[in-house]
Amino acid sequence: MVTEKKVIDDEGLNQFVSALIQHGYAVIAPTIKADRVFYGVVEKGSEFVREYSNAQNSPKDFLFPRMEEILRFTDDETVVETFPKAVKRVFLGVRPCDAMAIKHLDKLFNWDYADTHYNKRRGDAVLIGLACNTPKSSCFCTSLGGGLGPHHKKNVDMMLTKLDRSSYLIEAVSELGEALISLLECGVLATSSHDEKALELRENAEKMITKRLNLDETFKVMDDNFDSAYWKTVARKCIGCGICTYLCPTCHCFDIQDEGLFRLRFWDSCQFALYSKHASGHNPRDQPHKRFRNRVYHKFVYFKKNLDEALCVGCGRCKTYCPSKVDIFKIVSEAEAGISEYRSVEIPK
Amino acid sequence: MRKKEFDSIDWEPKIIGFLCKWCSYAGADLAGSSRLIYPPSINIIRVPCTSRIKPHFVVKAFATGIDGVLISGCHPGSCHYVNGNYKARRRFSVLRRLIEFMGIDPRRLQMSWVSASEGFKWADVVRKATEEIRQLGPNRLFIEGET
Amino acid sequence: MRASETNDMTGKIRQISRSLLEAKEADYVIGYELETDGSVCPVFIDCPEEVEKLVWNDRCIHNLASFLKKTIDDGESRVAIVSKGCDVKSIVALLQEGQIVRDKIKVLGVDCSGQRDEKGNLLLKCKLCRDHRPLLYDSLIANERVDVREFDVDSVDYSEVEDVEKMSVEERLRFWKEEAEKCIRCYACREVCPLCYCVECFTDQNLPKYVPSTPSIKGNFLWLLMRTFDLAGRCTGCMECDRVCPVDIPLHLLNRKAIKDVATLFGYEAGRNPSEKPLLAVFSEEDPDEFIK
Repeated sequence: MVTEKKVIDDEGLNQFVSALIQHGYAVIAPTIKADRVFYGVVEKGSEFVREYSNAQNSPKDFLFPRMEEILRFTDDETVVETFPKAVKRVFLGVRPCDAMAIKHLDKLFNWDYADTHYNKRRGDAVLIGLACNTPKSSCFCTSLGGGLGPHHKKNVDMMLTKLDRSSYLIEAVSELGEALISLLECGVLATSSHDEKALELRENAEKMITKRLNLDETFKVMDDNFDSAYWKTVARKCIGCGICTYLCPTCHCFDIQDEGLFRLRFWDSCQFALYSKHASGHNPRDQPHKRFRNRVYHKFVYFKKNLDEALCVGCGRCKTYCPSKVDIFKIVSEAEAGISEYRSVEIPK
Repeated sequence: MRKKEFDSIDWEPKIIGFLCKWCSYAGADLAGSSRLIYPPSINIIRVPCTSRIKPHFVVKAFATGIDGVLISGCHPGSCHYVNGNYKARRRFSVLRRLIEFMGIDPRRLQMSWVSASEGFKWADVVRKATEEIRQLGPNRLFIEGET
Repeated sequence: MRASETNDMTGKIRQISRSLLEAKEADYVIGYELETDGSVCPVFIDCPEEVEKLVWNDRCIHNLASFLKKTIDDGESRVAIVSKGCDVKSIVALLQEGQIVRDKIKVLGVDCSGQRDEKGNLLLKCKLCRDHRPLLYDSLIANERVDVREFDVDSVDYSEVEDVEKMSVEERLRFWKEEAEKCIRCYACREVCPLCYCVECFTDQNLPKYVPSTPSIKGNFLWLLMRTFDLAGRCTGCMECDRVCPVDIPLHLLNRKAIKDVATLFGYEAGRNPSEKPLLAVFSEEDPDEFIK
């Protein structure tokens, strides 16, 4: 596959966005909304924010929305299944961590059954990545396996790398990307010096990520110590809200309820007590630390057992927006030390 | 509530009344046995005392599309449970201001003191409430399809 | 805050915590510790050796009183808690409602001249604060640089609330529906609130279902309205709900509206006096009733 790399400037990028929109694509990119960066539909290229660490929400919001109708009861007493309309979409400016998250969601929503709603929304959505040159201190994508790193290209169709103040290296990675790169009307062919600059940026970015953990070791320690008092201790400052699960690009649990004439599917969180409560009244995760432990295990143990990968992508949103700044990286990387330390200590309620 | 029900020119205000069993419900009953004529806009829910009324009942009524809520109880000092109506008075003066703050016209939430012997007053209260709510128009807060 | 002030107060907090833990007068201490990015977060200290984790500075935003909710069902834990003036009001409100036992908590009251966000701006709740010195404490970590005068009750500033009140009914409905649309029902506002301690929240109740659990505009609007109502007369204005909301809904407008109303209608303020009965549990024969027919 011949991938011709090009170099374009900000204006070129704006033109590319307009071309995509003209070709009938809905372009979803990070934009500024009330001082924060959120993924949203953009009407023109200038709305696409290019200097940001990561958006508060993730592309998950568009593939697995906060709420969707799956069924409705009509006037003439029939039941109609509702499906999302197929929309041609481009996700522009997706960080490698979020792109990996989409890969995980693709697996999760097709694992034991094919989730029609997710698949219809996922469709042939094009992913155009934006390489990360300045990871935040809360990022730890390089430890999560699958080659994930700040410039990782494997999960996107095209990749943008910001080389300097206003030039971007743009390359097609997949066939879908190849097809779209022809929409680029401007730009020059990339030379080896552009490639070298990109490599330098990549190496710098990887060096900036100082948080590292060994997935296999962590998996083993956690798998062997489910009942450790360590989990009670680290969960103490967790207040039990759903922010981590709702902002996480890979969390995917939902509830289904009927409201009036509609059956709705909407986000649910394992952090709520009601989530695991049985109809009998019994609740296997009746205490906060059990729910907290469940989330950590789901990301680092259960998914690894089932699909041999960590479900976490190291984006750091859970820590950034947590009301108590609970740090999943710290908890997991210190698990081995913590578990042996807490083996003998009596933890108060 | 479906959109087509509002757009009809035959729209009539729909009011839910929460009436205390000892005073207002008896008063409404008296209005009935006295054959007093008043608009059939109100559906009555009997409660033991106005203090039984959880403000969430009122809000659920508005959410379902009810145009007005009328709460009626014993006069201050006459509550069968001594002071239930005083507590309800406090509660609903707070709720009224809050719904107003969020954009629901507070005139949709009305409260009255009607005793067991005040059949005429009851008919009058309902007549006036119906007119006021007719002026306010149908409750368009949460229309299916407009969410 | 000057480094000398923070160091001094940090030292005192550590010293008091150490002696409480050593003398076994507290099972654990809830305080603040430094986060790696320069901010501060809650910490639980179980033994005297760990008190070095405790700090005090102007990033100590969290209302630690919300962790006292964890002691509600267990009548045995003795907790020492580092508390600013605003946090102590929450503790007082919990005492007013009989949810915590006074002699099971040791309040380490801290004089506070205001907290700042990561950009260094003074928080809104600090601009409106009258309780630089906590009104209740077991130990006081004083700071002479802090103005601890009694502030004039009438000088309370409700201008943000009044701006919304000035809108028309339709404008207000549109405003709140727009805010409601953002809500993802993460319930962070509920979980962080010291006074949201219901075993089963009204929004989780099923028969009857008062408020939809779904994050529709209707469900969210009703959630915002009714949570505000359930906190009316109980909310002390710590604005934690506002801080934690991941989608920036201006929850402080709703709760301060309730605070303004109960002050205007009943002359009441929650969290001032532990022996004062909660507002909606009592009544006065002179309560306003001009709206009643």
